[in-house]
Amino acid sequence: MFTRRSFFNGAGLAVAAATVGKRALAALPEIVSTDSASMQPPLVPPNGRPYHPVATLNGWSLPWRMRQGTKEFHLVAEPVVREIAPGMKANLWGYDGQSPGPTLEVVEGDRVRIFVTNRLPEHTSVHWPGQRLPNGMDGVSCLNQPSIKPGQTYVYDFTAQRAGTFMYHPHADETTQMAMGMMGSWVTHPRDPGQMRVDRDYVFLLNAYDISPGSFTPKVSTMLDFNLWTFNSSAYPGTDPMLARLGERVRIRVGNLTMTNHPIHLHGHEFVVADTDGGWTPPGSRWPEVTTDIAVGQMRAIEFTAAAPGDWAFHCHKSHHTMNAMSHTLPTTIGVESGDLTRKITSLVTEYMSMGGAGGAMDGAASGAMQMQMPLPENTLPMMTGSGPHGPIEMGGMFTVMKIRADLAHGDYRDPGWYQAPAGSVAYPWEGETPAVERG
Amino acid sequence: MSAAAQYDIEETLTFNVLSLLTAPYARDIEKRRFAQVQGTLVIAVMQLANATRQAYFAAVAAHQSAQYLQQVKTAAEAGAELARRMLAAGNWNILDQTHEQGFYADAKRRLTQARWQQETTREKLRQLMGLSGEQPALRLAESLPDLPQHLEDLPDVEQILLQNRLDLKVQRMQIDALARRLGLTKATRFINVLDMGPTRVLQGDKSQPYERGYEISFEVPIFDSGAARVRRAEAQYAQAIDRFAQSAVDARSQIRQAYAAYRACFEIARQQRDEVVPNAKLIAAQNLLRYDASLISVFDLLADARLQITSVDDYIHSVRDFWMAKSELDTALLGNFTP
Repeated sequence: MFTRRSFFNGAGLAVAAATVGKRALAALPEIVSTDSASMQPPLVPPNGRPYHPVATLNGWSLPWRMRQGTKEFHLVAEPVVREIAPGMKANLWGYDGQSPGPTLEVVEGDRVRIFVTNRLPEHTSVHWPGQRLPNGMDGVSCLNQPSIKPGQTYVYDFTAQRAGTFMYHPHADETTQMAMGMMGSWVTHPRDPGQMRVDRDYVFLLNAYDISPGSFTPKVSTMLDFNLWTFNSSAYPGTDPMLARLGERVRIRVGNLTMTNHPIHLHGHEFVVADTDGGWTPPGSRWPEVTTDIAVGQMRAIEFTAAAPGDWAFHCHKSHHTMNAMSHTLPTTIGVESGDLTRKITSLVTEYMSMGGAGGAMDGAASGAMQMQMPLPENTLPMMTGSGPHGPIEMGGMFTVMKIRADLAHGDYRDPGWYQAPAGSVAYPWEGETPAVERG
Repeated sequence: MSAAAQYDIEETLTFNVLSLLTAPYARDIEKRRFAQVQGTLVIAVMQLANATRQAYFAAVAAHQSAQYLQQVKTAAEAGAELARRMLAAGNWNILDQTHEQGFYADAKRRLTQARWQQETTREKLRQLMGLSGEQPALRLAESLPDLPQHLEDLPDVEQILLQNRLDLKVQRMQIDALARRLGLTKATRFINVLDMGPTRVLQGDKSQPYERGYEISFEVPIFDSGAARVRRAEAQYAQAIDRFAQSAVDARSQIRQAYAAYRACFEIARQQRDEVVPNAKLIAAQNLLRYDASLISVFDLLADARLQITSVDDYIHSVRDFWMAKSELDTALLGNFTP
């Protein structure tokens, strides 16, 4: 979150020469990388065609080098350590120091050259779904191009022909590589900055991981039963809030690279889907809704006017996707008086596992760990967490808050804290008599 | 009877034995006979002491095991009761509930077996200690003594044979007595029964190192008069020497076997203590964390604890086995006491 890290100094960004040879480097754009999992300020274009930049939720946009009218980016595919939320880090694969990789922002008609250096232990490639490009640039390994071997750098070179929201991800051993977090967003802005103009433009990807409690690396063979559902590889409460000034026009671009659909829901406002992975939707085709389902591989950009001040929940409507790692086999104990027995069982299990020792010789590391009584396994987020102004929010996973304030300056992305609701506008407990309920 | 008290008894027995044997040799045959009887009695006492120690370790282990399985049963009972409530609330079906009931039944069976074992071993101990029903109840230590820090090295077997084996001392005395009784007086050479074999017969004078106070020597005189009058006596005497030699061979083997058992039991118990039980505890601790984090249910916790039970129970028994092997070794160093 902005409050936890320096937002405006861009301290997370670092230029690294690293392992690419000097001679090769002379021709390659410099490598820019970050170790920060927080939202970086929108990248105002220093050159090229003007546009209104996006803010990547828990992410950043990659600076480019302008060379003879071509925007050159350098993506380095590499192992990274990503903070999913405070208290949990994941060993992922990503680009330029983070997973997901940085957002690439270009303008309709831009000539774009992307250098992809492979620092993974296996071959890779990059596919640019939805882009109108030459077939040989589409990135399907060994269909459109040879795969990029470890240590190699490949060049993708095409013109961004259509404005819209895109993604990029490997198309080589992609099940593994996407399970490890290799993906990123791409925004092609309209040539006319006034077209489809909004005041706040957010973008992020939906991702899912299966990281066993106490471990750090996703299980890449999990296909459906994931235990971490994330917005741009961040789980609540590690997810940044999204902000808007009252009355601003807001766009949220959401791409789904998980294995299941996600009904994305915004509280307190109606929105329209103004953009899909295929382009702007014709205004006459739009209908208002408060939840839109995003299927696997799809992108949906919702637009709305920030009409009501407050802290508005924004989340996937699959309720278990707003929780962190949990059991899927816990028996239901509703209606069962179980506290006395579970206390008895847990204390007995603790006790009888500690009595195995015949005397003091049993004071090993294991019994030490037992005495510490850590509340959770290592590197594990609570299943339901987050603390709000009124108590525990009991959320996790694909959840964040849309904060709309009247006094927020345009372009200010700093967390304003919790909403101070006007007196008399918050639900309150009934203090009077409760009449008996008559059932006929 | 505390662990310390048990040691006192053991030591008392040991020291009595040695003090009996350290009494200076009597010169005449009658006194030698008396010494033989003494030795035989001491052996009987040591046999009883070993049997009592074994019974004691078995009884303490059985007591520990029964206590442990009592807790396991209590936990399983709570699980079964919770399962019954789950069924009553409609959250579980009869299949789920019956599984938990089955685990409870199994825990009860194991406890019954453990209690039976507890009574059997305790009764055996009372019997060996000569305690009758009216005498005060036997109070055992809560747990077996800890494993020692290190294994003891096996001392030089020849030295042990020379210095400690009571049975060999008795036999040696019998041989000397036999020689006197048969009237064999003129030794022509000496042989060492420890070195007796098809090719090795030591000849010559009785060597000095074996001549230490009351200690026995494995060198026995050979009488070779050549006279027909004493042939029969000499044959009888030779038979006794052969038996003595065989006893010495057996004693060496017994000590080595007892030491091998002692070493193996120590290794097993140590590994159980340092690897297996800590692993089981770590698993239990990690499962508790997962239970606290709502990642597993209390039934999962119980089910996994059931898997870890065996390792703890095995550890109790491995410590018992070690102390029993230690007692066997201590005994084998003193004589052939295992009936």
